[in-house]
Amino acid sequence: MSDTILKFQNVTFRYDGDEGKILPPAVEDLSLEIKKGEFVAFLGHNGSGKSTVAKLSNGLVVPESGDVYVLGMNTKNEDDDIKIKQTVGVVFQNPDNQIVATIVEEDVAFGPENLGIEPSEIRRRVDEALKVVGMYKYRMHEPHKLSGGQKQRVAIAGIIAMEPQCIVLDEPTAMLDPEGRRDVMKAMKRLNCELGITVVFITHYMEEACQADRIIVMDDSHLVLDGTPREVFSDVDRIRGLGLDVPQTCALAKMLKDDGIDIHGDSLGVDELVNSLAEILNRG
Amino acid sequence: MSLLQTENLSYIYGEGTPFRVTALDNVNIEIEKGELVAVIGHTGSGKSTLMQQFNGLLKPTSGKVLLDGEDIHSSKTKTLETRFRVGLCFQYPEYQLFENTVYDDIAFGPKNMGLSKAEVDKRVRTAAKYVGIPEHAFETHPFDLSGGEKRRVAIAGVISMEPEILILDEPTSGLDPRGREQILSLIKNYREQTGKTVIIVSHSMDDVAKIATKVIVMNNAKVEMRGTVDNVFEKSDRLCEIGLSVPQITEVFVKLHAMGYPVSEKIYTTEQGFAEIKKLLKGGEALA
Repeated sequence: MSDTILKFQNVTFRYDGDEGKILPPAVEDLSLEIKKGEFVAFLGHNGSGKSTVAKLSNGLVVPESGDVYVLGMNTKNEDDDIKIKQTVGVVFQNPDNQIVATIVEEDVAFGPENLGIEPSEIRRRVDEALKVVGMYKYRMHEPHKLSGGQKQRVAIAGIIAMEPQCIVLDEPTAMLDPEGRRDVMKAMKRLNCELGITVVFITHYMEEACQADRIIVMDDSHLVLDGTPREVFSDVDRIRGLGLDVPQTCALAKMLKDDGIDIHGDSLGVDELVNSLAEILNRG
Repeated sequence: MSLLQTENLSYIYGEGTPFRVTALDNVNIEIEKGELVAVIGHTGSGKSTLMQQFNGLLKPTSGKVLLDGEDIHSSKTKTLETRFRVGLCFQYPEYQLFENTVYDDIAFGPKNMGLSKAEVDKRVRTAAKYVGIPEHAFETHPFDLSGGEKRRVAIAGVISMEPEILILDEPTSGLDPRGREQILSLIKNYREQTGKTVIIVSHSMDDVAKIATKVIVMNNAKVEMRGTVDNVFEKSDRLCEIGLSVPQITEVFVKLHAMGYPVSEKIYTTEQGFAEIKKLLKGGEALA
C-alpha cells in the first residue's frame, strides 16, 4: 500500500447528458494501481476514457461508483480535497487555457501563492521549477509571446512549484511542433528521474509512449492492455485493432517477420531496429 | 505561369511599434496546378502567415501574391474573387462550426456565394461525400459529433465552395491515429478526383511523407528548402537543427547507411523500408 500513489478501484464514471439523458459511462469498472516513481503512458483513441482518468486522478471529478485513492485518501472525501490536489497535479492539452498571469514567473507562482506558502519559499520554488523545465531565462517574459512548447513548459513549471508527488499530463504535446514535443518530453523525464516525481501522461504519439516504463491502453471506457512498451507493442495487430498506431520501427519488424524473415532482438526504438536489421543483413 | 506565386513577399506584424516582428522575409515560391504542397516549419516560422497571404486575408508589407499571374490586391474585386478561389481551412476548424445542423454548416459558404438553392444542395452533398459524412447525419447537431467528425464537417464547409486551391492549416493535429488516417486519405482522394491544388501546413513528418508531391520548409520567416519529399528529407540533420524531424523509419535507414550497409537513405514509410530490406536480402541470396 505504502508505495502506491494512485489507486482506482472498480471505478465507473459518466458525464451528465443534455436534459437528463443518460450517457454511456466514460470509464467503466476500471481498476489500476500506479506506484511511486513510475513513468506511465496512457494510450487510446479519442473517446476511450483517457482524459476522464486524468480528471478522476485528483478529484476534479469523482466516481459514480467505485473509489479513487491518492496516497490512501479517497477523492470523494472533501476534507482531503486540498491535500489530494497538492499530491497530484494535472496539466492539460492546451497551454493557452492554463496560463493566468502576464509574466512567466508570476504565472508559476500562482499555485504556491494559493497554497499560502511563505514568499521566500515561493521564490525558491519558482526558480527551481523554471530551471527544471529549462525556462528560467524566460522568467520575466510575457507568456503569450512564447511558443507553444515554451508555454506548455511554463504550465508544467506551475504545477511543479506546488511540489506534487505525482503529475498527470493530458496530451501535453498534442499542440506542439517536433521541437516543442522533444522539450516537453525531456522536462517530464527530468521530473521523473531527478525529482522522483511520478509521471502519468496521455499521448497519441507512439514514439513518446515507448519512452515510458509502462503503457496502459484504454478502449471504450475499459482498460485493455497494461505492460511495458515491449510487451504492449509486441502485439501489432491488437494495437491496430484498437485504432492505434505502432511505432514505425515495430511495424517494419512485424512486416519482415510476417514475411518469414527471422528477425531477432528488439525493434522498439531506432537504435534497436538498426541493430536487428544490421544483424539480418550480415547474415545475408 | 504558376497558378499561385509570391514575388519578394515580406510581411511585418506591428510595424512602427516596439513589437515589430518580421513574419515573412522576401519569400519567393511557385505552386502549380494539381500539386499537393506541404508547408512545414517550427512554430513561429511564418507558415500560417503565408497561408493568410495566399487568400488575401493579409496584405503584403512589400512584394506581391500572384494568382494566375495577377496581383491579388490589384483591385477590391480581385481580392474578393481570390477569397473564393483560395479556400482556407484554419487550424482546429471544428471550433468554427456554428449552425444548428451539419447540413447548414456545410451550406453556409456556398449560400454566401449567392448560388441557387439547387446548386447549394448539390455542393453540400458532394462535399459531404468527399469527407465521408453520410447523408443521414445531415440533420445532426455538429456538437453531437466526435472530434474527427466535426473536423471533417468543417473541411466540407470549405470544399463546398469549390475553391481551386484548398489550404488546410494543420489538418490532423490533435486527432488520434484513426482520425488522422481518415483526414489524410480524404485529402489525397479529393485531390486525385478533382485534380485541384491542395496546400497543407503540418508538423507531422509522417503525414507529409505519405501524401505531399512538393515540400516547402519555412525557417525564421524565410524559405529554407523546397523540393520533393526526397530532396527535403535527405537533409535530416538540417531539419532537426531547425526544430523539425524526419520519420522514425528514415532515421533507421540513415543510420544503417552511415554504418556502411548498402541501403537507401530515402526511406520514409514502413512499406518502403520493407521493400528495401527485401531487395538487399534477395541480392545477398543471389550472390551466395
